Amino acid sequence: MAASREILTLQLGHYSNFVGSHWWNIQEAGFSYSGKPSDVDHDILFREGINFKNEVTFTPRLLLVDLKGSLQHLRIEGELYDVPAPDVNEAPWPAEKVQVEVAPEQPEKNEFLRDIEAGSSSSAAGGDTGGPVPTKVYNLENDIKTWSDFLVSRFHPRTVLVSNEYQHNSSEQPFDIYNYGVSLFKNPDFEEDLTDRIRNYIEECNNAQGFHLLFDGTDGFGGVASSLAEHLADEYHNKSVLALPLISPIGDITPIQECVRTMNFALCMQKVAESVSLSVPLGLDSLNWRAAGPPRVFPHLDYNSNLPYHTSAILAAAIDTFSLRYRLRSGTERLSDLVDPMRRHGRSVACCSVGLPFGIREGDNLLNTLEKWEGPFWTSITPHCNPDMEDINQRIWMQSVVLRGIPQSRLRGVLSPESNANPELSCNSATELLQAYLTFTTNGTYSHVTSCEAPCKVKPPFPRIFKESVALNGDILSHGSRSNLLNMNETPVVSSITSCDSVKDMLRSLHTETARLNIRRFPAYAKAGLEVDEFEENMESLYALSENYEEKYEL
Amino acid sequence: MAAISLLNPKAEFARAAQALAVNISAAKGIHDVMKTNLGPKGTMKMLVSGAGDIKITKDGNVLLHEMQIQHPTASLIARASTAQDDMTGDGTTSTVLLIGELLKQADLFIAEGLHPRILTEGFEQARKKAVEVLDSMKIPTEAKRESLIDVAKTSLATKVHPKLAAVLAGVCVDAILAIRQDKKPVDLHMIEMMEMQHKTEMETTLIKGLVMDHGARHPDMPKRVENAYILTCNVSMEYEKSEVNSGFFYKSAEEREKLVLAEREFIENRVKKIIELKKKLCDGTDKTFVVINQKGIDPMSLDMLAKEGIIGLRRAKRRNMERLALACGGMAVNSVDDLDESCLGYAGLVYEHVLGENKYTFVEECKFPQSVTILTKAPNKHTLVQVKDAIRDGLRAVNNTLLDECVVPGAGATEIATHRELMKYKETVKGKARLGIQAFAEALLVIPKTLAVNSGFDSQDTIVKLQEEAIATGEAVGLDINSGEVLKPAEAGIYDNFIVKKQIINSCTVIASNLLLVDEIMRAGMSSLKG
Ligand SMILES: Nc1ncnc2c1ncn2[C@@H]1O[C@H](COP(=O)(O)OP(=O)(O)OP(=O)(O)O)[C@@H](O)[C@H]1O
Ligand SMILES: [Mg+2]
Repeated sequence: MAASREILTLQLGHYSNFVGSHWWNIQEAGFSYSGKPSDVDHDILFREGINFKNEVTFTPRLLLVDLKGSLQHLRIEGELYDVPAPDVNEAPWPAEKVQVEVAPEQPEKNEFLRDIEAGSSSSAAGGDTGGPVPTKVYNLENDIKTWSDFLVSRFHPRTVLVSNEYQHNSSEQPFDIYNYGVSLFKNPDFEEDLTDRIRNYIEECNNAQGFHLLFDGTDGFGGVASSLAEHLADEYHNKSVLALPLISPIGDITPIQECVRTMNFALCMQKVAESVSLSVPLGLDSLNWRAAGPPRVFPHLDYNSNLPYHTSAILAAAIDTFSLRYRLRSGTERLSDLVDPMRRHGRSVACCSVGLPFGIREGDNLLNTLEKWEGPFWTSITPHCNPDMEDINQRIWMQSVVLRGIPQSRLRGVLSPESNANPELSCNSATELLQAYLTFTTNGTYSHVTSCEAPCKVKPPFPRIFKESVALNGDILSHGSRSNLLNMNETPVVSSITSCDSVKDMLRSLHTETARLNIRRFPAYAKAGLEVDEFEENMESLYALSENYEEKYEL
Repeated sequence: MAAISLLNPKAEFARAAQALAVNISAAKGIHDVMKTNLGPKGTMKMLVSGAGDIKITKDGNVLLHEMQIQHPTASLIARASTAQDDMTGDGTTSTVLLIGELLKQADLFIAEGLHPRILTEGFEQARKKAVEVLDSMKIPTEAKRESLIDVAKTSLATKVHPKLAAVLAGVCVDAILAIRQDKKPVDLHMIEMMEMQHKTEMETTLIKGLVMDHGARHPDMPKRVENAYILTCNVSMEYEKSEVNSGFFYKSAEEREKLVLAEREFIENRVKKIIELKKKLCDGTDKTFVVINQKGIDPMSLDMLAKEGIIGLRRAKRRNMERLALACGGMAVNSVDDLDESCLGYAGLVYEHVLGENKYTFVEECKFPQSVTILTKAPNKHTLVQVKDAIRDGLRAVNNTLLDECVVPGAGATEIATHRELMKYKETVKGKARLGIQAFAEALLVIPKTLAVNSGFDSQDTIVKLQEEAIATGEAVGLDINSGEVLKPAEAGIYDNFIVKKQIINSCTVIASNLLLVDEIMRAGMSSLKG
């Protein structure tokens, strides 16, 4: 029974689908088709099926929602379960009375998609997708308009759900208000379609762990997520739900839109935290409400903080890493082991950090790397949260850390006599080593550590955001630089989910920024059904949530 | 803008006129897209997305949802039409056409200097009169199969080809008659719609019981049982570690292990209680036992059930809990304590059907099913969707008839008659409001005219023929779309719903009047966020 620990992933909104696309790509790049099976138990996030031609399929256990017009070249039903293409004559209606309307010409597929198509025409269902030429270097920054422009994964027909009510990127009727999402979920057709697909997915699981709920927190999808989280708590109350509210790059918007984004985020943060097991907001601006703060800095990355294609890749690498705790083939950990302890004392919001790449030097070992470590261990990717292990004034109660990509052979070098006294030397795994390191560095923090040898795959279409000082395998070069003509292949990554009092600062600032807005000045909310009283209640609850991070509750 | 209107007192008026022109042209635009859809000879639209997704439809409401409507006036009309669909399930194309035509007719008079306000007064008087005329044309119907089939067929033949319409009409009427009690319309939620991507749409059938889109998840469970007790429940039979986890720190590993075992045993006991009841009722008889659970059933629990020959289904739809109780009797229980025979339902036959990776479970031969299933079949997804949409329309048409206890003649008959009555009525009205009545009367003719054009006949000729015949016979007459001649809808079995026609008249009047009296309305209706 330990074998099945299925998780259903839900992605609500365009930016979530950017992050998700990278994430599924990373995972599929890590599939091992021959020899040693991968460290990761892919049956957790993927499902096996049979298509109409009796071929076995292996597709993400995924349900995603986006708006009309956002898919570009992606077919809603996917291609794996395709039936022969229908033609006009097939419509049982007099042929002269059938009017075919083909959507306006799509922009041409980008080079990467064309290469995938050329490479995979031979193998349709799962299997090794020939794929793009491994050595070819792509610069897709200007070509990528939507997440399907770099999606390698192929989906089950149940995966893609497009809402017909709203048009993607519409300026006339934008889906930009929290309550639009709440109402959308009340639309019986939409709700039934969404919840029925979830039920279908969970029905086929033998012992599901729960759900990943990725959603865009700053627009109407925050409202969809709140309602959906409530539904999940109701219908699957024993299952864990890890919510990842995402904050897309702000871009060029008006001051009013800034306020609206902030209000949306405050509303969904509060609501979602009520129903899910744990909520971990992610975004790459250091500050976010109203105005964006400076983008987060990674010592070995050079990325464009305005590009969803770039930022979402970093978030995806983090998610793929911290989630390994409950996705390893050898492990027995479940999602609940991560989220339940964290949410004690009502601390249902946590933050996330990532070290991408984990800065280990070429030829160096883990022990040496940790001993010589200077500066921050990783970069926070939760806005307003800056947990600092070295700062004794901060409280970091608990963290779940995953380190990947360090093989056993790189644990330590040849023993040198003078380091005999070091207890880290008795450690026999990366887990123990890092555990020991964190115990020394932190101040009363309970750290749970997982390690896994499988690195994070970052070959194309993962963006080329690594500095030239990073080697093809993610090591930091001491001198020289990686050739620009080569693609990165993989990299060690460290990532953590952290429960700390810095979350309080985030919730407080979100509360302050939102509570001081006069909701009456934004009639769209009232029109969409948000009462002033209700809003004020939400804000009070948001404040109450932040109070759970006061130390006095620790008694 | 503000500066100009201060200087020029006529600017206000000019702006209003401009807004009106914009509204009229927007209404014409969406009218033009939709007009070819109307009636059984209308055009089927096949929409192909950039990626190759297909949608086939003739339904006004479906089409409106597919279209990218950016213009606020057009989107207001679209919303009126969607509201029409929500309320009655039909008449969305007519709504768009009539609003467009009312504005067109109005435009002619406004161009001659008539104030929109006067026109809308006339519209309002005409509306009242039109509803009266409609009332006088009601044909009382009894809830007989044949007459309901006529209504359903009229509706369905505007969405799918006639042969399929005949099949679906039978399915819709029988579904409703099967679960109807004391002459009332039925709760359409109690008709489950299940789809199978398989065979052809002609094989769509009514199942007098329930079909579920999942099956037993244990290889040893029977695939088919007869004479079955049905236990419908909402009880978790799935061991979840998370409940053990909620207390975080354990004193020892053994303590944790103990908790795990206790939890496991707790779940097992639930399953044992069900098995106990099954043994008591079925052992030694030819009766069988089926458990349909809204919650999960894990492999261990499935195994226990399978050993007893019990079929166990997990994660049933919430709404199916209610439907099962109505189809099979018994009741949905939330606990397995105090289970006895009175909780259980009955089905003569329960069997599984496998299609690729999909499983279906049929619960049939129920004694007095108060809930039934329409099983839609089609070779591909877009046909399934199209047929399902058509069935929904058919069911609504039948239900509307039961609600109204009457129908009205179709094929343009009500519009021809109302036009004539309004033209007479106009003569009795004093002042310029009568022009509004005249515009309204002319606008109504858009329906028979469009039906004629879509069938390949001249609209003027048709109207003249119909009007002459209506006067000559004094009866309701409509267009024979096959010959272009006149027919008596009642004889041809072409009926529309009274409520649909009435709703069209009411809502079109309101919307058209609003659009005529506009200027700032539309702007205010737009998202206030712009800017
Ligand atoms: N056999 C027929 N002969 C002539 N007219 C018919 C026939 N069947 C239906 N009609 C007419 O066709 C019209 C309905 O057409 P249709 O159903 O396409 O549009 P609608 O009801 O306005 O919109 P929706 O798309 O919502 O159904 C009605 O006026 C009806 O009387
Ligand atoms: Mg109709």
